Amino acid sequence: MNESWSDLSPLDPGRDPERWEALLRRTRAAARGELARRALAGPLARWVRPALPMAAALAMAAGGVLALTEAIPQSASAQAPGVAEAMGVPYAMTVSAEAGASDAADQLLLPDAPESR
Amino acid sequence: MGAAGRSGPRPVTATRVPPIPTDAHLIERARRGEGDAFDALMRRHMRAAYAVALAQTGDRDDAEDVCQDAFVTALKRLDEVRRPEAFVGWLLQIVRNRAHNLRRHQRVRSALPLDAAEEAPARARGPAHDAEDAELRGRLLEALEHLTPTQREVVLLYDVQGWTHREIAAAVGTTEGAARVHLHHGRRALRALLGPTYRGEDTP
Repeated sequence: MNESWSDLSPLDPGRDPERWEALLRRTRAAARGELARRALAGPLARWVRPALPMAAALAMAAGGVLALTEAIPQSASAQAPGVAEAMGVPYAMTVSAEAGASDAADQLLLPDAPESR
Repeated sequence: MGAAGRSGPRPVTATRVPPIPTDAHLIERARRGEGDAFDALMRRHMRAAYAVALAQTGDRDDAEDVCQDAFVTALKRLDEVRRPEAFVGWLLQIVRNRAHNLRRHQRVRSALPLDAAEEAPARARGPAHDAEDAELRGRLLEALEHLTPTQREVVLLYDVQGWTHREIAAAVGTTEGAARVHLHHGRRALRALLGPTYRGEDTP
């Protein structure tokens, strides 16, 4: 079969189609796991990808709010209407309690009453 | 005049052939785990991968193992492909690396699954033809062993796969001129080794 010697065609894998197809089948089978992983990871990535910057933006916003809260002076926060007032406790009593004063009850109850009664 | 009143040949658009998907398109789909896209990539580039693997290993079974391994590796690393138009060059580099690893570890046929090992001998042609083919292959592979790995790759890609010098240059990572030189020297060495029966044409 001298004509086969004339070139390198005996090295052509296409000369043995069955063997060639078997190689393709084996490779496809070996790749099946990775293809399945990718098919699963794709939709997950589509959800995770936009969620990550959103989470980062939320974290930054929360950090900003915290920084802003810490920056408010203590006196200002003390003067602002608080929980006590919202619950109906008189402002004078709140101030007195925060200052640690032990005023008499009548002073607290009648803070603006005239001295000479 | 309406279309219904026309006679004569139908417009060309009616027999439009679907466009052949580019590597870039197939890579994108294979990244999403679409098996048919991977299959198309494999069918498109397996022959070139095999030529390079055979050039590197000098053995059909090893070349097949290398190809299988290289395609799976390529799939795992598909996200690293930055230039899809250069996919084949990237793939062939993986093939060379896998072949190098195989040679280094002397793992002959150890990666071949059992069912494939059983499949290999079951071929349609007669045993006499197989033996003759095997003898020819053996002599050719033996002669190829005397070439450099790059010469072997160029000779196999040009003479067996029918690639152009430009395609070879891109895949091997050299110039067209250098590819021609490799082919010329490779063929000359083969002629010297195989005698007058080897009719490799000189580089056009």
